[in-house]
Amino acid sequence: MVEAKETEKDIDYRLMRAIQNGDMVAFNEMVDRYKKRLMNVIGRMLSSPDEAEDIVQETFVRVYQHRQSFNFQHCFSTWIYTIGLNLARNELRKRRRFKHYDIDDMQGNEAEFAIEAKVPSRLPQVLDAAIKNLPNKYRAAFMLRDLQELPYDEVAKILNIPLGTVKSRVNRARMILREKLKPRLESHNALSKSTLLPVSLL
Amino acid sequence: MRCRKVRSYLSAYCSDELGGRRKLAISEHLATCAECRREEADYRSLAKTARQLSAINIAEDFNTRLLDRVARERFAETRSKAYLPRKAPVVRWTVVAPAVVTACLVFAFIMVGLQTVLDDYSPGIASVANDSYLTAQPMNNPNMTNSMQKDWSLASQMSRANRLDRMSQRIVNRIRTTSMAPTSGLFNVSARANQPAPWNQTYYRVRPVVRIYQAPDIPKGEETAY
Repeated sequence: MVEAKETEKDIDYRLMRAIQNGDMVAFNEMVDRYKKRLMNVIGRMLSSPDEAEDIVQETFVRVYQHRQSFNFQHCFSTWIYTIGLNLARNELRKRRRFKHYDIDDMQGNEAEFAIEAKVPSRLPQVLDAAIKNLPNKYRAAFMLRDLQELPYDEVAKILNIPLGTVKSRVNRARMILREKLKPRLESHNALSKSTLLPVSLL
Repeated sequence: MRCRKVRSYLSAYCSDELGGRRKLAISEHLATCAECRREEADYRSLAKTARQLSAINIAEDFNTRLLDRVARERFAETRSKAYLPRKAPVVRWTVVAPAVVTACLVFAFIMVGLQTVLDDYSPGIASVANDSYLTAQPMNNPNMTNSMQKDWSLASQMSRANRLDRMSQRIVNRIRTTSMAPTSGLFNVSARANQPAPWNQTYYRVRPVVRIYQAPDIPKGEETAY
């Protein structure tokens, strides 16, 4: 087999060409490839999973509508994340303008607090909550970089901000998260001692 | 390097994003400073936890619902490509009416003028009608959007021209069939197209051009000789 391995980018381009020719099977495949990634980012920006799912759906519809305007110069992932994040940001902005408070929401929060006060929840859950509370601009950069593990330059393209700004925002987000999770991280580290002990002391 | 500076680079160091010299300086510092080492451990477990964060569940029927929606989108697209109106055409009579009225008035004035000229020469009317035609000047159509305006393809130009041709034919026929008594004064002529105008059609200001030929000077009594 001499055939070179198809990279992620190549797969995206191949699917996108098929979609431009009206291939719905390719579109379905594309949805399967990206729905989880988008949901992981957008779901952490909006409060309810239902809303997030609507936004993800809307993102794919936009992709379909504007399929002909995709020029194969950037990564497809950059394009779709840009669309999705813009839609999510619009949603957040809309909500801030109306500022509605849902009674069910408040009760839900109360219940969560109660549980948290009793049983210390696991570290990933605490981190999830902390990410949700990050300021918007740090959150998007942090999620794209550390959760989706995209390279810095792609994050910069998606958010349409300079590379240096992305780096500083990610750094800042990590610092904020560490500050918030400090007590829990320390107990976590104490359990797995190997990371704490320097080589010289062993 | 001092602790303060080391700490500003620490998270990047833990995610392995630093270049050679800086990385070396930090690892040297970490070997000697317990405080910074503790912080390093924090960042490492933070990065690890972030990678392990559970995926947010997505509904089972997500794909089906999405594809349904896209199918509807596709349908709408093919409809608009076939130039079928999506909704009932909205004809703004406030825009159309003045054009029609001016056209009629201009026509009427010309015909009145014609009447006075042709009063004595009734055979002349036939030759007028045969050679008359309409000129059309496109007007702004408020119902027309930008994307429609771009449609200057030959096909659409031709269809517009055809349409105008048909309308002028109808007007001319009307003139021919109307018995125009030499004594009649002001009269109205108008034509309506067979099918309603598509909503993406331009509006035209229509002016009739009437060619007048001098009929041979024949006294009234000898008309029957023709």
